[in-house]
Amino acid sequence: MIRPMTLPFIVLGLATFALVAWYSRVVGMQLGNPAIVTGYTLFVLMILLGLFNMRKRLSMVPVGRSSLWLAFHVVAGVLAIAMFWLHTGALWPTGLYEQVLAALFYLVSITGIFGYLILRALPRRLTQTGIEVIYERIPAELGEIRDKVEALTLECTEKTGSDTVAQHYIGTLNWFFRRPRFGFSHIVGGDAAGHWLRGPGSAARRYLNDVEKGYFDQILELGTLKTQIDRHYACQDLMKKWLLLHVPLSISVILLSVWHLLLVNVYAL
Amino acid sequence: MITDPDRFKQDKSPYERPNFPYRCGRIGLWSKPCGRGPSSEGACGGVADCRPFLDNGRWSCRRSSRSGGVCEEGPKPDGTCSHQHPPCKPMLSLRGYRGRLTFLAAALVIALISAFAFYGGGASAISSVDPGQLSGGHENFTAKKGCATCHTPHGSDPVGWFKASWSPGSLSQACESCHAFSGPATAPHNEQFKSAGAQKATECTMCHTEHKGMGEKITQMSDSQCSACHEKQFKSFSQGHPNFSKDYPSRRRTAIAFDHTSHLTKHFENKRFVDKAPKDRCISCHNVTKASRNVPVRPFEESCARCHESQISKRELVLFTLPEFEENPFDMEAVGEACGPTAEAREAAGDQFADLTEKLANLASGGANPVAAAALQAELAALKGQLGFGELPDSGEEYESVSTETLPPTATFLLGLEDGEDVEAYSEPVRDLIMGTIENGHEALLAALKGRGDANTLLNDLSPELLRGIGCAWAGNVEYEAPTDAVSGGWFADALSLRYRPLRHADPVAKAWINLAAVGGEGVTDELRDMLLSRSEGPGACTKCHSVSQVAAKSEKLSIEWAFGGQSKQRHLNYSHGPHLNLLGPGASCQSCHKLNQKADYAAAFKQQDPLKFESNFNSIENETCTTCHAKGQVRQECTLCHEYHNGNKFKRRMTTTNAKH
Repeated sequence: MIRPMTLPFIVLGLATFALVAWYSRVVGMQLGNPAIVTGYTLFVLMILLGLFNMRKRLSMVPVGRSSLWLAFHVVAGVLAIAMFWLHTGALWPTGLYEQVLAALFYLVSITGIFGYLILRALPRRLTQTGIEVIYERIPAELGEIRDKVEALTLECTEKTGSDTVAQHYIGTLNWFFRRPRFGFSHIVGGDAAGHWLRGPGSAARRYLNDVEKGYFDQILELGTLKTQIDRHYACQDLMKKWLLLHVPLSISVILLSVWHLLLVNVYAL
Repeated sequence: MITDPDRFKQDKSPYERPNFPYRCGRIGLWSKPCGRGPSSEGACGGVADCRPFLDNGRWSCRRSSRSGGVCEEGPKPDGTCSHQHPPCKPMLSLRGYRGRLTFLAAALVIALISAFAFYGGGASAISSVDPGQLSGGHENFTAKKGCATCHTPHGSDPVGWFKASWSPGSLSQACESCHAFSGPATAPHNEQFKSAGAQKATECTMCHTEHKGMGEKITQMSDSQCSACHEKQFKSFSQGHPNFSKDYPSRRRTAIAFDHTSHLTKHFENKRFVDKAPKDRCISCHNVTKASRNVPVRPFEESCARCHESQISKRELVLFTLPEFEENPFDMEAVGEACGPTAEAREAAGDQFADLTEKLANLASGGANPVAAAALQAELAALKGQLGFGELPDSGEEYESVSTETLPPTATFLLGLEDGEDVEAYSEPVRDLIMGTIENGHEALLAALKGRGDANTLLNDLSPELLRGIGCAWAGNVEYEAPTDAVSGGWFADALSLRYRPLRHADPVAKAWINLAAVGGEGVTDELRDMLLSRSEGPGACTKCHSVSQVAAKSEKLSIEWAFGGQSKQRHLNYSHGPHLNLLGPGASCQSCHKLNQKADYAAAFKQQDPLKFESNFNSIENETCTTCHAKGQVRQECTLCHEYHNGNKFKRRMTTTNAKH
């Protein structure tokens, strides 16, 4: 489903591509060099794509909503791929330097497409958890849950004089509450954490008396809550960390393109 | 905690700063971060819970409510917080990681570009200026100088690069250092078209793009590249190509005046010649094994000689005819000195003549003493009188010239005269020429032709004995008596004239005289031209078949087209008969395209000298003739199949020399 704010950019992108393709053909028909037209267009597109990162850094400057910039970034990115093929006339260029440039360009494109897809898919999954949590606060939330679970365990031991729950926490549950778990399962939409809680995590329940069960059920509830936070962490972490590849690759492509542009001007024009 | 609905109240919710480069190290242990957080330099800020404030001489706790509010212990007396913790090791935020990775990637790219900028000359090794492998032909000869072979800015300093990036490239000039054309290299088709307006300059790189790999055919052009300049736009050869010209493919008359219509329909059908007529029609005369743009005609000996060879030796050239004199122009004593006694006198003298000859030889070699020499001189004088040396005609006898002829145009040309009938004008030059031939053989004739044509060829094989014989006879006012041997060809003389009979087809002497008349120049009169280029008599009969054409419009200079074909000016046409003949099969298939035009007055074109005024033996070839096969979905039809862009594309000598060394 195309978002309404994206539609104008798609139309603009298609029009730009059609215009550049037509003009480069005209230039080619006049025995000019169409690669100059497509090359400079591609370079301008790269600069505009790079400005999105600047926009995020300068959030205080009123230069349009970030969602608009993202829509533009996505459309311009796809347009850049099409422009790249129009420029090179092939999927894979000749020449080592151009091949390095193309490889990095494809990597940037692939990471960009991957980022766009996870940004479309994962937030829905997070909404399904029913809670909202800020990514930076997740360690603190996990810490508080762990503190609560440990407090309940101690209280249970003091009140019942039995250390069954405490032993189970030390032997089994501590592993789960210490840090986020089952990240891959959360990303792909699995419920490995729920299965674990209902299986090994609840294994000691049959050995508990009623009072202990009351405490144990509270601990499991906190475990369920932690599972939801873990899902937030796994998904939000991925939605942030793909940029660790995308941004450095992008700056590499832009720098290589600048050198390529310089070489073209010095050697070929 | 997340279950707390008021967790975002201002006293519970700290302000998150994900754009800070560092985060509290406790986050790495998946526990609650301290309220103060690390500094921007990455130092731990959470060693103490708060920074106590001095209020009216007392230190008071300033711990925030998010960290538990004011503590019971309060600050120490020295103003330090009583809740001290071991410092954590702040960790990079995601933004921090991203910034570092970005910086690292940029630095790596710049470093690699700089390191490999010119490594290996950019030609063969790893290089950041390597745009791809050159095509096969260029790869080899650029190996030594690398990129600088074509790209002059390569290897220059930054200033040179800066200038190069703002100035037009010079790649075409680099191409011209090896490639040469018959016209301007950067003019379209290497030509200055008269009919076109202002022509735009072209660059080699407009059509030829390099660095696409060893196997790339950079000379292969697309139809759209041709369409770029041509005003007449069309879809393909079979769809919209302009009609061939009305006289295509013959832009001019043929070099050899061979009337296909009369030969094929009349002569070859004639019962008198039918046994000599070619049996295989076209390919009997046209050599299809050498078919290219033209299908060359077989040599005269293979195609024409059977019928026409006997006609050649009948065409004699009269070089000189003894003209009539009103009085004897010769000094008979000198003639006698030069020619010696007559044969009859020598026979009458018998042994005395041999003795005299011996004594004359002794005298000439100085073998006798002065007394003997004086005696010998006296005896010699007596003998000379006895043998008739220097005998003068009786002065009382009336002189009657043995000839009543006038000088032919060839003789007036030799003598540099305007008129061959003015006896007073020609007597003295004729006498000098004849005396010259007696004394010096054909040296006198060579001297007369000096600077006027190839004298050695004009007089090729002319015997000095023959010249002396006719000279002595004519100087003695008698007719020359030729040897009784039959003359099959070459130079010979009859009673009063010196003649040449062609030995064979393409006889060099006959060709030389005809060329002399055609080219014209000093001394070549209209009479001489008429005589030598006459199709009806003399050697000019060659021009019955070999057309005589003006060298240029309004020029009197003519040329004889001795060779077949190869004179078309359709430089950009690249047609080859070869593949067509292979496909269609030789022989009758020629007429698939070349259809006789039996109404054409083919012969009329050869009665004048403008080669462009003609009527071909064949109907013009039309587009439809070719589009029958060359059309979409059938046989190839791209522009370059028939047209060649460049005019006289060749390598300069320097290039071929370089190749030879390799």
